[in-house]
Amino acid sequence: MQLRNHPERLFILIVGGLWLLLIGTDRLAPVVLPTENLYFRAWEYVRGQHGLPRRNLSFTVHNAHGDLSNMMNVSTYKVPRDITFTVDSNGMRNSETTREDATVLIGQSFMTGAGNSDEHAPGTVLARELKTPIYVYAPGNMSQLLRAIPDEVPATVIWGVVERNLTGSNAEIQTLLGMECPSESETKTSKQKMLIIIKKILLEPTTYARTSVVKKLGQKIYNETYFSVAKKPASPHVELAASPSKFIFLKKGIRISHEDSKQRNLDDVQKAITKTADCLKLHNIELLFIPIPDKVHVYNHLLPEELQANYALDPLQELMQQLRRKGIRTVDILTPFMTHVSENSELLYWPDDTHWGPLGIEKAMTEAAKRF
Amino acid sequence: MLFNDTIFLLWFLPVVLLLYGCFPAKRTPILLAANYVFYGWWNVWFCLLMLTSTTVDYLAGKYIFQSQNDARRKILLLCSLCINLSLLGFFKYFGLLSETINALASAAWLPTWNIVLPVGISFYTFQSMSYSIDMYRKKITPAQNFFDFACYVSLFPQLVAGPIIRYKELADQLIARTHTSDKFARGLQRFIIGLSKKILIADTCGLIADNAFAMQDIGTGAAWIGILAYAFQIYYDFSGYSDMAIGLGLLFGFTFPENFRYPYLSISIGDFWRRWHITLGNWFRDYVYIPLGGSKKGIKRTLINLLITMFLAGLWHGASWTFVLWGVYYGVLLIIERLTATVRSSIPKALQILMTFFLVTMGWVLFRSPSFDDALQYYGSLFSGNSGVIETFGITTVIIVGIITIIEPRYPHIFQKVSLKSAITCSLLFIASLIMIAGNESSPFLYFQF
Repeated sequence: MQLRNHPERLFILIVGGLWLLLIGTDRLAPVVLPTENLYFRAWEYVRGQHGLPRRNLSFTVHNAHGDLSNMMNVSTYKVPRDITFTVDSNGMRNSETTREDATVLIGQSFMTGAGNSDEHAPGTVLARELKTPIYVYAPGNMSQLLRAIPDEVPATVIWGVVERNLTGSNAEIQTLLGMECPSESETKTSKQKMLIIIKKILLEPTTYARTSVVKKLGQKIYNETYFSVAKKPASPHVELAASPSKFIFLKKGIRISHEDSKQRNLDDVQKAITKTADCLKLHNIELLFIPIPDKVHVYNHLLPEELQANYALDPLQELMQQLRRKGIRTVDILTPFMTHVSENSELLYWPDDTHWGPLGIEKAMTEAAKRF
Repeated sequence: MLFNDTIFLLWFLPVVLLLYGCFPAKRTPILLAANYVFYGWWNVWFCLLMLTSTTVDYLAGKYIFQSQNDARRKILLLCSLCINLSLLGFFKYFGLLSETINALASAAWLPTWNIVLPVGISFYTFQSMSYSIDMYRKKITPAQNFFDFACYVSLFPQLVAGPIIRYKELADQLIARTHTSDKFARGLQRFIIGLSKKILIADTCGLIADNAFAMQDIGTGAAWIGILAYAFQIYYDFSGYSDMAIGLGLLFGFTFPENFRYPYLSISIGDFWRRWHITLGNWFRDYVYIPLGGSKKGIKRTLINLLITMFLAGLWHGASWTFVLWGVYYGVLLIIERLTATVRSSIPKALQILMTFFLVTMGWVLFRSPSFDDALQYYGSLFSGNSGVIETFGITTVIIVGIITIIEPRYPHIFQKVSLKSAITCSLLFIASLIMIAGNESSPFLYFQF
């Protein structure tokens, strides 16, 4: 009765109540649910915030799915899988921490095995193939490794970079081109460490934005509704395969697939890799480079016809030739991948992920092991 | 941070309101801290720039007020204006200046730096400058203390896209303002309506407009749908932001001036500028047009003053010659209006509204196009008579939004009264907006770039 005479209080009660309910749900969810399960797969969780990876963790994300299906956010396109992920005290994907191994595997998400469980990760597979322990410096940049080469130097560094990052405009390629070969390892000063901690504290609230269940629910409703009405993904970043294979592609990869070696500025890429090899050589370390073909390169034929690239002059092959001429040891995984695709239906890449699956990793690491 | 971010809606705003409500004695410091966190979210260094502008005008205002010497007062005012305009000029117009001079000279006379435009600099600089000018004109007395003044300049609800508020409009409210449940409820209602205008109407129209302006060969029908969609996008985007700002102001006990009054129902261009971005129009009237002589120095001078004022208003909107031309276009239209006042009065009102809307829409082509060439091409498409595919979604949206725009003045109480019906409507609009925000990763407000 009292509220009827005070419509403004009734208004605050209803609208404010709804607002508080949403806020409460958002705040309680990370407390009630296991934090790692608020992420769509393990990789997003271990990456942490602002370049500060989580450390010393081993956990399993159930019903995880691919990064592309996360962008698309339509249930029928997800490939559910349980992902176990172990990171060491450096935030790298290793079960046991030792930095004295003879071989170091380095790279970003592909070499870490994002989207795959520990047992299928490149480090695990390569160690199995070589029957020797491997230190996985992944996720990590080559420029970081060059600045902090361990005292016990490895004999070989295997560096894998995915095709879409093998362009002259890529930040890491530019960093490598611009940096001097470090003569001795540089360590972060305590002042720098302090700045990192301050940055983390100040920016920690942004973690909330990534784990907000209200936001996730909103995204889900929007994307599912959009897809059922428009029959195409709401996300501007993904493209669906032409055939009913439920394959999803990243548009950035498609764009790059239409560029030739000049447009990709492969000269700079070649120079950066050669320079890296020279820097490593100063420490008596040998580089084994793996150019990883993009999903769109390997499964080009699944794209709608108008989006298919013409690989008559394959830029990746061209890069490998250039590198070999410079004396860089390169692992060609493109050829066995293409042969496999023409002969088999088993998938090398996850349909809902930009990354390779267990079979792709197995094939790539087998090729790499052959070079030892 | 944007008003339409979940981080603002579900984290920043509730925390600030909670602190604001829990510590009544510390309301100004809490608000000041919130303002700087809000602004620093874009870039911490931007805060230093705002602090500089604030300090300069606070000190200038203080010494102008204290000084009895007219020459000294004038020098202090000039110092304040020079520093403020230099900051604005450097960050906003240096790129345009160097690009133009280098192009004219066919040589790199000036460096072409990639200067990041601090968000909302045009808005807070104008607010801050109005303080020094009004102090010089003896229209106001100095702020009680630096924190009150800093709070006025940086007030987050209207910091980055207006309304542009003069110090005298907020001076008393900074010292004492009332907080009632009615004000809070109306603030909440206004905020949600503004949010829905932005998310549900402006962003939807934006999809159609972006598509039309991105096309190379567009048919006449699709071009008209595109420009009408843009006209509605910019109105609902900007007026939505103003509604949110006014609503947020009410939540914190402030009453801000209105910034829009059904501008698309204006009967003339002069009338349009009295209804569109009202606080900016008033600012230019009081600090540019009237000091130039206004309409008191004969018809010839009046027309020149109108042209200068609109030229500057165009330039204020952005560092591009298309904005300047857009401003000059309005200057010319206002001049023609002055000269044809008697003829216009005989035209039926509905036709006057249609003519004004047509002229305003033509102006939006210049405003939206990245270059003259693009604008000319779009004008060509509008009148070429070329056939082409027109999407049903575009036509339907433009018709629905057009109807909403026409009937909007019939429901003025929508912002004034709250009820059970409006509570349910607002709840549904809030949920719908949140879904759209989350799914669509909503675009920033158009007026942030100015």
